[in-house]
Amino acid sequence: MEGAVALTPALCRNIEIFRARLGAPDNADVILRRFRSGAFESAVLAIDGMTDTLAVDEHILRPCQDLPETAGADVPPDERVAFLMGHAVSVLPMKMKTNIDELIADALSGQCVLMSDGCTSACVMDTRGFEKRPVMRPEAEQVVLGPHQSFNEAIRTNITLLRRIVQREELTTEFISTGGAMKTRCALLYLRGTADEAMIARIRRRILACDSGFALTTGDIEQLVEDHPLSLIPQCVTTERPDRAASFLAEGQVVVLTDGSPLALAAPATLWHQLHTPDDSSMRWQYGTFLRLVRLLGIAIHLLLPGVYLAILCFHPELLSPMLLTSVYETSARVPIPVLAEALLMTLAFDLINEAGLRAPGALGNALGIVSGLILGQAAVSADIVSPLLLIIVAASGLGGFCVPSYALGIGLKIAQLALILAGALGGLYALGLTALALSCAACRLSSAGSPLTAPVTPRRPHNPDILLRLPLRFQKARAFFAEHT
Amino acid sequence: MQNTALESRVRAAYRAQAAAAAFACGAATFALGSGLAVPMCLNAAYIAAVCAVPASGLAAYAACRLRARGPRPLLLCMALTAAALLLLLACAQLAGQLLLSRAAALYVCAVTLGGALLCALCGETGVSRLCFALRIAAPVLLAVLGVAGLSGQWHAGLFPLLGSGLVPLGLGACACLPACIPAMMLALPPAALADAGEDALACPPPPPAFFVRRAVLGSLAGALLTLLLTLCNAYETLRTLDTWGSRMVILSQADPHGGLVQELLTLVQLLALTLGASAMLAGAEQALLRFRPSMKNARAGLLIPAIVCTAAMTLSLVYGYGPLLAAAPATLAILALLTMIPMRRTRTI
Repeated sequence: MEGAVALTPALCRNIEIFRARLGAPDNADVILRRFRSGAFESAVLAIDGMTDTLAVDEHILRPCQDLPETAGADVPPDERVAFLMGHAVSVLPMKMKTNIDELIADALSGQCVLMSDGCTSACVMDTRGFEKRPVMRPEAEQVVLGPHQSFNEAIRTNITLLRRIVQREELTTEFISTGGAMKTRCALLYLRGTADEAMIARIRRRILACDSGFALTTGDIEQLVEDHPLSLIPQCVTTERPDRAASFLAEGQVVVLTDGSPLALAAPATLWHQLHTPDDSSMRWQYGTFLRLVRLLGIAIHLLLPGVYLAILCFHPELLSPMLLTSVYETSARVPIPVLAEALLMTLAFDLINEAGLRAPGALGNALGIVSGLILGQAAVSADIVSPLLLIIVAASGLGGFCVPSYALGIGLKIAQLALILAGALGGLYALGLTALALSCAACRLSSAGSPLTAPVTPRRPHNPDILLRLPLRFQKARAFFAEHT
Repeated sequence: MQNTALESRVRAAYRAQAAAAAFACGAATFALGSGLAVPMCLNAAYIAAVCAVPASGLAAYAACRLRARGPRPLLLCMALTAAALLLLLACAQLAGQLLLSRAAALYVCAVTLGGALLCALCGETGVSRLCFALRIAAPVLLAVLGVAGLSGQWHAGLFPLLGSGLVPLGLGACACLPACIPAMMLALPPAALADAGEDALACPPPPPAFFVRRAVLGSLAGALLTLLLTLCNAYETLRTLDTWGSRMVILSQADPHGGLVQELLTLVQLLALTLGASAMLAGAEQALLRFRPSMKNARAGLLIPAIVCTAAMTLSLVYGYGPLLAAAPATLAILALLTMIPMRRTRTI
């Protein structure tokens, strides 16, 4: 029984094999129902809770059991399942399979397996009916204008959400099972003829090469397929919005959906994808451009402001006006710790507050913000542990960090900010500038599924005027950027 | 679609390489023109910078011809490394005088060399793409800051630039060689093409005029920057100073507005010079890998910091700095270790 790979002609033997593999009857979730279907016997295999038992009852069991006793008597044994599919069963998506491992995997995913006595192939029908979260508003990518739908954990629902937007015959869905002992179902979506074939093959190869023993999420898949695993900057873009994922498809990118994960992964991606939001396109170009510039300013403040402050204080005090310099020195004189330690402490405190706010339950999270931000901050200043100006700078820098649309990129920039703080404190504006230069060089050499991350700025490629400024739509004529410039 | 993508990649890679060469030529010309690179012709350093402009173009043309025939990679590596080190030491001197006046000299050297190495560690691809991205922004920013810092008597600074006497003038004309070396990095194909595959390497490069134009423009920018800084508020002219490295000295105490312009101008100037030096270091590493393909990442990356370490230690011995400053080689050794960490590891499947 352990060595059996394919179905046998004997139905009772097949049932024994499935019982042994799935641990029935101890495993109470396994449904193995034997019944009479016309002139021969059949059986269905399903998992309780994963499959829609009502659909199985109405569209498979009852029609098969209602067949006359002589129905199928002259059908060759190996065609009995096909006979049932043609004359009784009314479930639409179906596949014929013979491999026992595949049949078990399909049953575990919520599908129903129909076998007949004498037949060495079984029919797998999509009767999934497990509980799933409805389509809700996005949690992390909220917009003012634009759609308010987000992906959920059911892969079929997510594919449907995409197909509602991209109604093109070229849209192709490839299902892949990846992982080791615990297979994870992924879907690769792309526009045939637009997405580059070599790039699709590369992504497919990398996903199939994943052999982890646990259920993979989109984040896991991203880490396993990206070009530069040790880089601070993510090389794929994730989104929970179907409209954004649809725009990636139109650009010639591949969208990867993972069963059980409410995020879509798109590759190749550029750095600019991670800095743009759907609101930029939904609004008029003047508003979109203005908001984009505000966002970029926020990101620059987040990265550079603390480091510049420390550099000026430690190495270039002549840049401050005498009045400001006097005020800074007066407040700093009362603080017992060095300014670098003070800055790192405040930055760490800010990150702790963020992290605690994320983990605390809803109502507590709001109270946490008030307690930590107002009371602790005020108390720290009153106790002369930190200087008020540094507190303002760290707070402004933290606010700027919230402007980063991509959560993953935001964390990468937080780490880069620490390096810039150290550089500013240890080497002034010069070391700060050199560190920024080194980080920029590192960003420029990154690639995403073979495509440069900083394209189309560098290397320069023909593109729409939509990188830093969002110019009017009538100027944006270039289509399918990744199709021509992978 | 495949051919369009390949042509686009090849064109972009050569453009980025040409931008990096332009940065390097401009940086070397500036170092020459300000008397930092070759102090012996101080009184006519600007003549050397002016001569370096056409000389860079000739060097770029020679490099294109060499690419077709196959350059001598070890010689190229040594020349680019030497030119880069010269430029970096000049950067360190400027930074020590103008921005980090309270820091010890070798500390400033270590910061400069460390920054340049970190940039060069990203490889020729990363440095050249950044140079391409900044090809317009950097000169424009320098021009704006320079004009903002122009002295009220700027025209008085013009005449001393040309130097006096035939010997200094002759020396100046002969001394433009260091500014031509950066153009030799064009003798190798861009590293980005090697990543793209055999088909990309087989594509014909742009004509030599493409590279010559960019090298000349870069060198011209360096010469014009020297001119602009000479006319600025805070810098002394060439004629009156005769000590190595003291060419650019802040004369006046910084007031809030003037001081900010001076600091920013010096900072942008130094970062541009460091980027040019990093481009040369990355080119040197590429040449070294060509010489010994088995010396991948770790070993090739060790050689450059090792050379730099030696230079730093020699400097500390010559100038007699204290043992604390001998920490600079240790800093650089840590940087060398960083090259062994697969910072440049790329997924290959």
